[in-house]
Amino acid sequence: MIGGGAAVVVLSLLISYTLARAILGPLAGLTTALSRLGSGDQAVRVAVTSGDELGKVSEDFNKMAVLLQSATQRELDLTNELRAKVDSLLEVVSRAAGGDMTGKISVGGDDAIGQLGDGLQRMFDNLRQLLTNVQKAGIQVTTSATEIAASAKQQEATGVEQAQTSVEVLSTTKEISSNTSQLLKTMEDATAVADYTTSATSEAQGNLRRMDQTMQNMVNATDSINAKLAALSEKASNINSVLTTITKVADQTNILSLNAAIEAEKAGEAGRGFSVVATEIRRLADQTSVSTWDIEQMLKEMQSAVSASVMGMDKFSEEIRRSVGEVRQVTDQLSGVMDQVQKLAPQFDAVLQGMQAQAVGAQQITETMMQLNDATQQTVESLKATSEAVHQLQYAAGDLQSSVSTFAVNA
Amino acid sequence: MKVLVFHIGADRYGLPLRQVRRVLPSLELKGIPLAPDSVAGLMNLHGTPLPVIDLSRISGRAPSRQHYDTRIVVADYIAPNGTVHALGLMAERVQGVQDVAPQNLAPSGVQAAPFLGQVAGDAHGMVQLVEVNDLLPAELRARLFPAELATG
Repeated sequence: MIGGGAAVVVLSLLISYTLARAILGPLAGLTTALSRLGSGDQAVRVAVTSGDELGKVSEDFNKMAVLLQSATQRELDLTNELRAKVDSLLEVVSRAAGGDMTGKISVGGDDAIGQLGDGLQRMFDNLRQLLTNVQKAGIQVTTSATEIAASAKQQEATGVEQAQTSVEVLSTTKEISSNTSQLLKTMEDATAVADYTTSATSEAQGNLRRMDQTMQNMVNATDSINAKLAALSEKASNINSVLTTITKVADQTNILSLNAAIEAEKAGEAGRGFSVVATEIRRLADQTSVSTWDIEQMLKEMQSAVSASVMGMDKFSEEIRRSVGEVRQVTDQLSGVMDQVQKLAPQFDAVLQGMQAQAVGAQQITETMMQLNDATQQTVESLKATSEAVHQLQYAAGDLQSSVSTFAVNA
Repeated sequence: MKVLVFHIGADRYGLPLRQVRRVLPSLELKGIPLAPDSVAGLMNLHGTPLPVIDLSRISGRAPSRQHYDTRIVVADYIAPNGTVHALGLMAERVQGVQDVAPQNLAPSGVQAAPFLGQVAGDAHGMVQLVEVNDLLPAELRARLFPAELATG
């Protein structure tokens, strides 16, 4: 039962299905195709299975689908072409945006895209040219900046060296200045000493002249004394010779009286009176002898005193003469010294003036050197600033170069 | 008696005037080599050579100094055989003739030089007589007067 029922059911179902398929089938196919067309599938075609209305509809549908498909295809082609052109442009522009300026615009034509492409091409050409120029300029700037930096460094070093040198020169000049001042003082002292020496020498010369005069007077006095002594000596000699004569006479008288006394004695009484006379004569002769002896002694003493005096005077006189000679020599020497010293004074003055000028000059040099030093310091500062600026310029140039180098301008 | 007063050193002596021929100044004497010290030299008395005895020297003193009153007394020397010779006597400080009273004379009492005789005092001290004849010792006499030796 169930099977029979089932078979009926299946048979009914099969009949239904066959009917449905006979009508519903092409409709469904059409409907599907329309649906597909509606959803964009323009390649969809409906199988024309019959020549009935349904088939006609299907044919028309197919025609419409072909038209639609071709129109859509054409539109798609146009769109694709446009997109290709835009893509091409976009690619070049994108590359350019990424820095690659080597891209070529291949889009041409008279349409808007073509004109856009041409404009872009010109713009890129100009940009490339500009970038090339900028790159070249950057390299040049970098090179120049490096050179300038090196030069500035060198200049700075030179400036520092110059500054040191100028400091050294300054200290040397200061030393010279102080030395000159000291020297100046010494020279002033020396000049004072020379002046003093001149006046002292002059005074000494005057004193020596007076001394010379005094000594001359003494020489004259000594000569006079000597002459007097000589006269005295001569007179004493004369007296002496007289005394000698007297002594001889007295002696002979004495002897004579003695002999007379002897003769008188021998004469005995007859010679008595004669004997008295002889005794008297003898006594007188003795007295004369004694007196003469005394005189002679005194005279001798006097003579020896005189000759001692003469000798002393001679010696004194000789000493005075020698002294006079020495004094004259000293006077002459002093004159020479004074001449020299007097000559020295103007020389000292000249030297002094020269030294004063030198001191002033050294002072001026010191001032100039200080100014120079300041200037050099300023120069060094400026050079440091320049160096810094050049460094910055170098950095900037480097930046510029690296920035520009991101742009590739040659294919 | 009268005597010729002279000095030997500081002392006064007297030569009897009767034996004095004359008094002469102190002359230049000729030296006699190898002669005794007491012989002062040889004098020329009017061409006759005369030996001179230094009275200082013969008394054992230093030679007579040559003063103005140093004299040569020419005396008569009577040799023991009686021969009279002139003899020069060099005497210092011959003062002169002095009278000596014989009663004042007294022996000296001292045996000294053989020629010294009596002494006499006066106001200035003492004067001792000198005996001329005793002046020369025999040997000196023989040397001075060799002729006498030959004869005697």
